[in-house]
Amino acid sequence: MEPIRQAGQPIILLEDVHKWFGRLHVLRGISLAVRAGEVVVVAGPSGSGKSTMIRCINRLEAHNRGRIVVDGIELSDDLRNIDAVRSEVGMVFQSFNLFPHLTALDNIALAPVQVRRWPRARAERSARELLDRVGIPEKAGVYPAQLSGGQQQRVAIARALAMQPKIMLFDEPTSALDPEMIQEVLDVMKGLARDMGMTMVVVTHEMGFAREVADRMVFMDEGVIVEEGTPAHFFTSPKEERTKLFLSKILHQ
Amino acid sequence: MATLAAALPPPVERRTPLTWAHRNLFDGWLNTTLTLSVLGFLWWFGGILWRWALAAHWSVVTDNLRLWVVGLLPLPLIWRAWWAGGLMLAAAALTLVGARAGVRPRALFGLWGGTILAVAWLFSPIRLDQIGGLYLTLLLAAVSIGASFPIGVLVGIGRTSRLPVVRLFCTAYIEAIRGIPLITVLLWFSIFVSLLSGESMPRVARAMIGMTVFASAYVAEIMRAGIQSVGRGQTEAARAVGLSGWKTMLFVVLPQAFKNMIPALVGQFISLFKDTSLTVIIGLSDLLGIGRSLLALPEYLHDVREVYVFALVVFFLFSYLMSAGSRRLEHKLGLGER
Repeated sequence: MEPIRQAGQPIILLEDVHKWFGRLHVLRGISLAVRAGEVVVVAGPSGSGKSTMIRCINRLEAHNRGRIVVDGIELSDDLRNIDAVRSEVGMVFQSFNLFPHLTALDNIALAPVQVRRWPRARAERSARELLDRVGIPEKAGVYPAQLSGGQQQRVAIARALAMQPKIMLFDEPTSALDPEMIQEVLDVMKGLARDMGMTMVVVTHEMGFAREVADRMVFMDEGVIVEEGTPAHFFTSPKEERTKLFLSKILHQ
Repeated sequence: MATLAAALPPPVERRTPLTWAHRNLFDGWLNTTLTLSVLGFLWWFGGILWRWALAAHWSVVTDNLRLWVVGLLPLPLIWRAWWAGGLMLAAAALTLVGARAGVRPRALFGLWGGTILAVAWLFSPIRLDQIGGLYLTLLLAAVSIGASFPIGVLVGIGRTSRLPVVRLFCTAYIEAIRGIPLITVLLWFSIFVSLLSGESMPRVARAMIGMTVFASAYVAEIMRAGIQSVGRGQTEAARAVGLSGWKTMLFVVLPQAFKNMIPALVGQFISLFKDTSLTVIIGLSDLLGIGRSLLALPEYLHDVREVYVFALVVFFLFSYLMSAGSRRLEHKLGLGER
């Protein structure tokens, strides 16, 4: 399907998106537009709906009301649309979710071979390049269980990049890591933003990363976007009371 | 400032059989009493068994080995059975040697494919109801295990399907079969299937169908448990990189599920192997059936113990082989993972 995107139009568009888990109203009218190449950091207390929101963008969760358009394709129950969107959008999870029965190399090469139908040799060559990019070229033949948390998350980033996505979603990528491994993952993510100009939506509590890399901050609470703006504005002069409260808690840890 | 502590070797523990026995069998008066009384019982009971085994009439086994192994297979056909058995044994030996030497799995698959083809050709002029004894037991087990595995896998996947009709059908099948004892399934198939097929279908084939239908339901439940043992994050990660539902199942969920399923699956297959003896009830002459026929002969009327002890040993041997094989497989697949 040919994207119907024109210059200046957002690559991700959410319009009045609602989501319920049973009776629980998790997303209560989210509207957000992300331009190509933009890095958006989403912050907020746990249970605010930030993970659910980015999981809706590649339809790991289906929204119940409103409209989500990704790269010109509207997300609906049409399975072809979902597959088309998923191959444009990479996702990195809090708990890595590497495939434990496959080596690092095979974790990365699986989707290009099975979905893009690349020849094995080409997929492996590209997988080695990606391992090189995330800084662990020597771990190609190693199984996930033998890697540290930081290394696993870097393989997971390489796995998402292998499909050559236009957009990368990060769902708390460093929350499950030991403190000394957080930086190596953040460095890889910074590289993506700076060198590749990747469009990124990052849910994280790493405010240092946000200040350094984000083009825009989005603060969510109780299923709505409370405030958004540049990091400079967000960290120095937040308008909303809830934002101030959150920042005071998270920055004084 | 503290200096760095050098790494020390772990303390060496001196363990002789004597200290082991002291620690595990004779520490305290309670354990000592228990150990001595168990030893006394074993000595007394073992003595009885030993004296019985020496005086027993093993001729019921030794004089009828051919019957025990192939049943009433007509003599002109018997060379085929020996060749088939020899081929299987040779293939098994080659597999063991090959696995130790690290031969590629593909070569082993080829070896077994060829062996099975050759055995099928050897057996082609033999009618199903001519086979008996250990061969029938093994054949029933092999066919019902071989057929119930793929059927069970499919039904198990269907049981977890998102499509309500598929799920309902699979659940109904599993629950219906699990509510019926195997003996009933066997009798039912042997009586009612002949309504559909006439008398043309041999009883052995009816038993095979009955056992497959029965075992598939249990394999399906093991399969469902295996699928559910794979975390939701795995499916999500696979879908997120664009794999379709089927490819997610095939490349991500099933390989992990199978590894978790091996112990339960082998347990199921071992009990299926032992359950072949229930086919006596529909008149098949498997290993146990041959034993019962021999007991009906006047000269072996009093050799009940010998017959059942021999059957017990044979069943145990094969079951133990299966369980040892599965342990090796588990150990092998466990490498490089959690």
